[in-house]
Amino acid sequence: MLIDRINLESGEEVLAVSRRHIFLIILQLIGFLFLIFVPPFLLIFVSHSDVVVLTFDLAEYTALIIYLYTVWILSVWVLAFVAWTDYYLDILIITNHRLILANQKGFWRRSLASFRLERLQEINVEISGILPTLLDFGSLRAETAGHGEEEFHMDSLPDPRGLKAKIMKAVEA
Amino acid sequence: MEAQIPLLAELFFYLALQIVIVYALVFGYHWFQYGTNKKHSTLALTIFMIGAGSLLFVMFLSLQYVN
Repeated sequence: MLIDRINLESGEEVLAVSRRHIFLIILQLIGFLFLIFVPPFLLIFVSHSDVVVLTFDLAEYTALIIYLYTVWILSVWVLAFVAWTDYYLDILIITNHRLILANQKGFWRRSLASFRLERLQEINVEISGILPTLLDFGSLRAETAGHGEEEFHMDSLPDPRGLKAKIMKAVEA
Repeated sequence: MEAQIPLLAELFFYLALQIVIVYALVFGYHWFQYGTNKKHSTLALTIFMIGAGSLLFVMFLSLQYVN
């Protein structure tokens, strides 16, 4: 698991683990659910339309249509889990020493960035829009002082003000 | 062309089977290596396998009647 791979320092404790707001993945999954119903609607449209004239009887191809529709659903099923993987593996970990950001980009590209709390200069929260305000999610942006200024950024985090408070508390401790 | 449809459908079924197996392995690897909770990863993999398995079974059944 990810926590085992991070190699926590001695005395380092995980204070919080956060992902993007669950509303976003639910919204994506609803989109995939709608995709499942596209072929039946197209089939109904084609069979009842005067615009498209079929030169063959659809009833003769029922088994093939079921087969192709199952292929479609299987593709949507796999894509839904690809989206879930992207959601599940983008993680912000707040420890009493560091901020750790794991970001999954596709299947074979991931980054693991670590920002030490003592180098943290500024931390900003941005909640923009009606839904983010109602559901309380937004972006967290932190700047760290170093040789070149580094920036930490993650979007759509639930309760970003609470996360900021946790980070500030860890910095002050 | 029409006579080749059952053969193409059968070939595609075996291709789909392999694709699903590869995706299951890739998902399992990522969820168990980089996830944060073993129970969640196991549940997600179980749901994926049950769903994909059922769909492949329906594909296999409908394949018997494709002619």
